[in-house]
Amino acid sequence: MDYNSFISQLKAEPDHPAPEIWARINATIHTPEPQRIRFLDFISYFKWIPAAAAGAALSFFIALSVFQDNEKTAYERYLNDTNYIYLACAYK
Amino acid sequence: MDIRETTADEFIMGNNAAFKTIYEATRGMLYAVIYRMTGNAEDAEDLLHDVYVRAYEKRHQFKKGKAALSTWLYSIAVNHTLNVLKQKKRWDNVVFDPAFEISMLEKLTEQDDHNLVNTVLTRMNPDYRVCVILKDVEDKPYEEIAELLQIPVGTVRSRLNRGRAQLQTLFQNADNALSRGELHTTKGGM
Repeated sequence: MDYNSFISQLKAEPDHPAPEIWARINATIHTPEPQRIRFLDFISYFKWIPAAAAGAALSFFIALSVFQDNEKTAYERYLNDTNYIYLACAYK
Repeated sequence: MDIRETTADEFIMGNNAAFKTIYEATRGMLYAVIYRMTGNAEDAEDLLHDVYVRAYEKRHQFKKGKAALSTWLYSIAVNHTLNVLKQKKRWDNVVFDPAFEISMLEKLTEQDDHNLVNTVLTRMNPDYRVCVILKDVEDKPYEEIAELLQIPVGTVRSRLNRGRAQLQTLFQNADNALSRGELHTTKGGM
């Protein structure tokens, strides 16, 4: 077989679709929307859960780092204060 | 294909009788292009069902002045089939896959042209396959193919050339292997 005979084979008209196809189409379009199971819709609904979880985790860590920075600053201030007291005592 | 304007209007309004008239008028054309793209009657019937359901659901998006209803249905059929074929991802290595060449050589020796065509089709890159089918089988002009697939005309030309080259290499390799009598050697090794 060569390219031209391949195309000729493809050009041969295929049989018509089975008569029950129309009945299937008709049944599908008259099925109320909520009864149809749409797997992709189901997945697309739940894909927001990992996105929301990732967002919440990110916010948590940002808040934690800000809180820790504040804590560190307060602690450092405390250390500095006590050092000054020690220095003052030593100086005296 | 002529579908009366009143029938198209009634279809957009959701009239079932008008939808059936449109189905009867267009099913042969749509089934033929889907069958040629898939190479399989069962897949073609499933896809035909999906295409008409999709068309019914999106009937309000059909713009009468832009294209004929049959053209609109044809573009849904081609693009839906192309998307489904791309999801299957079974077409790669069409020229260099040894298992595929063996199955092709078997079909060639059995003189089973129908199955050979289907075997070749199912392993071709869908992007090339659709261009070869629309241009060389359905005889559509480049501009119409570009509009149907929503790609530039230059891309249609390059995909068509690659598809033709891929098929010609494939058939040439098979003929060379047959003339060298490699089929029996390869089959023996399996």
